[in-house]
Amino acid sequence: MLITGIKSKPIYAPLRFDEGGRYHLMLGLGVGREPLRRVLDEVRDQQALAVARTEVLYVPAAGDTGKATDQFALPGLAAVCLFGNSNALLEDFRARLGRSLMGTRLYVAGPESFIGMAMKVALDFNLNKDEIRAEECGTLARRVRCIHCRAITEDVKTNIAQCIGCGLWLLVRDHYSRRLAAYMGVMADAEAPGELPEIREVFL
Amino acid sequence: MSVVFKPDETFRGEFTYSNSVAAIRRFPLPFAEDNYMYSVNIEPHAPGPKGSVTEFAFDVDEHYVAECKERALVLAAEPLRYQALPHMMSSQWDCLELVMESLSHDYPQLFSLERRSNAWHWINRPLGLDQRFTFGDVASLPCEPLDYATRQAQGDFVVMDQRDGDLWAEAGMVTTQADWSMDFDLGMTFREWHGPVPLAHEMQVFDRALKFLLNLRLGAPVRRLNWTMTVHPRLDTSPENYPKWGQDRARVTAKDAGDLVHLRVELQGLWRLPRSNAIVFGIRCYLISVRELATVPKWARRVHRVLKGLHPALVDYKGLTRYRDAVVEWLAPFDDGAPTTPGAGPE
Repeated sequence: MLITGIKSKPIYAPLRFDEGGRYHLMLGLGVGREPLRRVLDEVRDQQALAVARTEVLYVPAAGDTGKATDQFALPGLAAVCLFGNSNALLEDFRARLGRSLMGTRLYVAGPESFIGMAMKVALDFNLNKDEIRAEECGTLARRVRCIHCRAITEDVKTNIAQCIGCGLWLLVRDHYSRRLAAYMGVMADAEAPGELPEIREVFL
Repeated sequence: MSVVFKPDETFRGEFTYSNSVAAIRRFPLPFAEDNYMYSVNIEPHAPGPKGSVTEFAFDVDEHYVAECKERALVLAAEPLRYQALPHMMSSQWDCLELVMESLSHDYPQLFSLERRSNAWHWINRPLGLDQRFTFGDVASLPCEPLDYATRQAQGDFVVMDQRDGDLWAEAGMVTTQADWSMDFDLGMTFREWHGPVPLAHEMQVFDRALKFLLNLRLGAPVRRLNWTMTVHPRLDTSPENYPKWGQDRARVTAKDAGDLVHLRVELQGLWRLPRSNAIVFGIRCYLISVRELATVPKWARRVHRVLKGLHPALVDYKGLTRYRDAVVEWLAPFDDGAPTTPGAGPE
């Protein structure tokens, strides 16, 4: 069974401003702030009028109490909204997508699992892949879906992890579903019960 | 000669499944040579010789009734083994039409279809079904059309929507699969769906296959064979149920490999669908025990040589690691080193 090197694992490129867009919606989590700041500088330099059509939704890193204007110090942005956690941000994002207009471009920056969740919402609205850009930074911890009981175990850092739903030890494969925003977890010791490979932290 | 069903054979529990002598002779061996590697081995799904598995669009064989019963058991326990995204309804009706038209045309003694405009009357004699319904009206069937039609067909079915230069696996009835999950893969692109297959991506197999399939024409279906091995004649080797069948792989010995291990061959057919422009991908599974296989001397030699020389990445991918050697050892006495005739046929 192929475990790594599976082609469904998404690969993201560094974020760039899309001059072809009319509205720009940016989502960030934690260290995802830096790529967004970089793109905002590009907006300001390349198409200053677009600043007023750019909205930023952001979840600051734990312990970061900076105000919105400190996080993204670019005057004239249409909105900068801070959220306490990614679920709150995604809920707001969903509402905004529901009333978004043609020509909206989406920028996502943060850990892979955060990007995956944002992409999942975008998929519900049939956003075209040309309309979405994402840059991966921060933790590689994975959302893992148990193929046996369908439960999702969040924040998995190890090659083998115990399923939050059925308790089986799951081998985390590179096989990724954008629809589920999760990697596949398969029982690790199904062929020889109790024989688990060494558990190592691999998704840091 | 009409087919005699074996309605009571099972693919679980006591595993009473077996092949008649006639079924062995028509088994679709996927090895035309004494070695095996991937290729884009796609050919027109043209009618094969009388009595062969490719004589008709969908082969109905002695296992038909038992396989439909097995499918019903899987679905009763795990309804999500059938899934379809909402925009796939038009392709569902396309599939139902293809299955019903083909079966009733090719096996008139077993199936009949009467169409008066949208008022259809379907009779499936082997399963004892008599259904009048309105084509296009989901409420007139007991379940969704793809679900209804494929509960009455052997093999798995995946329907791929075509858009953005890609094929998206967005509906499917998958209960007899070799270790992949429709539930997990639903909504994937062609390359994502085939992501877990080793080597083939690097060989551009999927790029070329995708390019070919995007141009698949209505009325010009194609097919290919694929294969793996399975311990016991177990149709449902889904990843969902891996905890139930995984241990079988560790139990095979050189003594019982002939009876336990089965060659599992998929006759894969692909049809363009007329209304939706989707493609339906049929994956029909044939199982034969190594002992049954070895009743054909050429095949015993051939399979012995193929398994012995199989690429390590394929041994791993096909899940043969724990028992490949046992099968090779069991088959060794049948291989006297004599040359085999070209082609996959039994003679």
